[in-house]
Amino acid sequence: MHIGPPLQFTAVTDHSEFLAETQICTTPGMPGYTSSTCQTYRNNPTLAFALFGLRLTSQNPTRFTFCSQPGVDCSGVARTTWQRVQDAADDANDPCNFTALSAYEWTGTTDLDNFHRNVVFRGTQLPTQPTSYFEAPTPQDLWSRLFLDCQSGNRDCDVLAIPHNSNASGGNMFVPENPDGSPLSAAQANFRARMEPLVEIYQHKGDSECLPGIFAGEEECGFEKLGGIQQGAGYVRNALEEGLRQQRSIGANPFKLGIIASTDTHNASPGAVDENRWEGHLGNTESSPEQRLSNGAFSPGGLAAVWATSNTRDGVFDALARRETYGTSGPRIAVRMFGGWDYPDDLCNSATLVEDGYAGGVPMGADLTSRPNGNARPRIVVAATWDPGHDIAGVGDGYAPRDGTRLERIQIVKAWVDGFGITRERVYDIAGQVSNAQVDTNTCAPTPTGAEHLCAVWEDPTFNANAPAFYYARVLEEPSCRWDAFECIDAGITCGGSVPREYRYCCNGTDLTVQERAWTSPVWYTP
Amino acid sequence: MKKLLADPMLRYLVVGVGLFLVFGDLVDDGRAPIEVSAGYVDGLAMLESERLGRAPTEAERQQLVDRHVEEEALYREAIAMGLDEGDVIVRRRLIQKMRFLLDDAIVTEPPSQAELTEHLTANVERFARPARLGFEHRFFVPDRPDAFVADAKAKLVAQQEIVSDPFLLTGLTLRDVSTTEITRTFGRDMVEGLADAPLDVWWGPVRSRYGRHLIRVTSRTEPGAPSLEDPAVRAQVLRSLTEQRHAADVRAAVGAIVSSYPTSRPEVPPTTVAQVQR
Repeated sequence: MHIGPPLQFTAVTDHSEFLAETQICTTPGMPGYTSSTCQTYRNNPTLAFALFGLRLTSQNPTRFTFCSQPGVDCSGVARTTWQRVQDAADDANDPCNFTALSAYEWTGTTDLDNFHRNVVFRGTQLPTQPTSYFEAPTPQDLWSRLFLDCQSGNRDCDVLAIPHNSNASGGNMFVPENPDGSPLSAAQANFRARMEPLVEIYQHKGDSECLPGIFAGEEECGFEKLGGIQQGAGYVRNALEEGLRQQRSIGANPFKLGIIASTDTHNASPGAVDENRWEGHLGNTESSPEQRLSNGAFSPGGLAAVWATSNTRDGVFDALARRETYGTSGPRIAVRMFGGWDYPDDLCNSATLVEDGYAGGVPMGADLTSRPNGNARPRIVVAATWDPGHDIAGVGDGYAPRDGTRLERIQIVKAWVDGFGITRERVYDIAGQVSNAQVDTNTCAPTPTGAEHLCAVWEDPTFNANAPAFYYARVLEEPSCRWDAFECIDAGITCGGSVPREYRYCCNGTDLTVQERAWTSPVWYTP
Repeated sequence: MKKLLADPMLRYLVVGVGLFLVFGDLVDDGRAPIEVSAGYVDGLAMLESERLGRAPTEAERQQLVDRHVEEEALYREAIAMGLDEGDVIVRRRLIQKMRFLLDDAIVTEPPSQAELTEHLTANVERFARPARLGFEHRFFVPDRPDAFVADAKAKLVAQQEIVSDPFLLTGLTLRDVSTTEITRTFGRDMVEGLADAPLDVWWGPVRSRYGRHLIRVTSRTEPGAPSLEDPAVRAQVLRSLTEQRHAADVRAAVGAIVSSYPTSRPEVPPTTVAQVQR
């Protein structure tokens, strides 16, 4: 398979829980290979997926009993496999050309709520034993172990954890308390923010930005929702807002989260985000159009972007740690955001916008500098450039160039805590305009409207110097065809005639368009 | 009677009926019951919640169990009837599993330094590092008229201030970047434009994926001969040679399995020109 332009960085990551078990069950002759669990693993993949997954839902998780049979060494095999993950990353890492980070996914799914985190490392002395749900059944246990195994002492090791799929956490991903229900201390809140500076806002299994509702959210919150009963508290915007309330009540913000997006691919195909050639992300359960179309809420997922000083492990990791990041729902939209107090109105016309942005304020992911005088209001500059599509040729069979979709709008999402301690939010359109462009899902021809470049300097019209606040930018493309529209076209479906059952989604009024977007990390104001 | 039994069709029939009479009851009684434990249902529910993004309702759980029992019964019946035999999909899947197993199980010896050198020498072009460039640029969005860009160029040559547009992806000055990186960021046109430009002269406009740029190339490093001293080259060569060898080892293992079977193959007649053309 081929993706469009090559990626510039990635993380090599696998679920840490079964690094050993899957290795043992697939290696003839290894102690444990003939165990009944391994036989099930080989003979009934569906059941095995369930049985293995089930191990990750208990509050007191234990490894399979075959791991404690004489001669079977699951810890040892996990160490070896983790070393292989690191070797693969080391092999692919090519400083200044391509960065590959070593990582794994901690897969806590307590009581079926998704608490998964991608754990990303930097350094030459990574912990030899990966931490899994079995050793660390709560996120707090995970952070403590990571801190002890990696960051304490003088090891050449650094680590951060990135929660993902919080939309499937039953509203429990961002609870501002300890596992025993006690409130967070400032130290605990700061520790969490240090271990988890980022969150994944969108991926294969849907959007986690915000939930549309009667009392909260706005129309754009309807983007790529997974469906089912949802809890607002599992969404990123709610977490960021809870962070502001915590800031006010305990003087520290546990949810100071920068933003990325990713695929969450399970096919080892990072960056496979093109709507027009998606092959699924869950192995053989998503390998046919029928399987994909019957789980229509899933999608190719997005990309993580960093503003790094160099394309090296240090450069990329530093950018992640300082939250100078943004996520996109797939397209390579470029977006810059800076917050300050006195950016000039004509900054968008300056060839040195980026340099001036850094010089006169802070980039996405940072705290605004202190207010210079009693009249100053935050000024935010956001500049975005479209993804012009793929023009890289000669990348082999099955490669389909893709036209770019132009930009529709830049928005600023602001939230703050009012005098009653209640969080409020507001969305401002600051550049571009609402388009009523129609997409022809029979041809998927690119939408001709929109802008290649958008930029605006915006001043907060409702600034209250006593209210903690954050601002992040959302950049919307014009609407375009969603992956299911391409599936329908590829299959030659003509609505009106007889349509094969598996393609009924093509013609039953399902919306086959998507409005792709980018979300920046916020900048924060703290009184 | 003897003559009757000489008819193969009838013989099979008689034997089949006999077998049924002897074992028919036994098969019925000996059927392992389809048992669905509570833990298994939890497992199915887990799978379903992965798919739904929420826990399944009671009714959905019931459906999962019913569907599973049905599938299990059909699966067993199919195996009992030997439907897996000669099925092209089952056959293909088993072969695939076998190849996966071999691929994982076969350990390929790491190549020696001399072998790496040999592999590199034989494939110098493939492992060559890209050319590197340093350059300055000024960016113009597509809306800017050509005359505006031409005027800006004249001013740059005369070392005067100009107005140009912000470019978000890089700074105005790039030092020592590879053509691979330039292609990735700006597109191929830009690399070609940069290749044409003389050193230290404002040049252009050249086209990128985003608009037009005036450029001034400040340094140019042609691709050097790749060397194993370069850790990135070494890693690439090592990976390439190891993969090549591993593939050969797997082929050899497949060959060993094949030759463990006595086989008789028909003579393949030589292909005629007419057949090829058809």
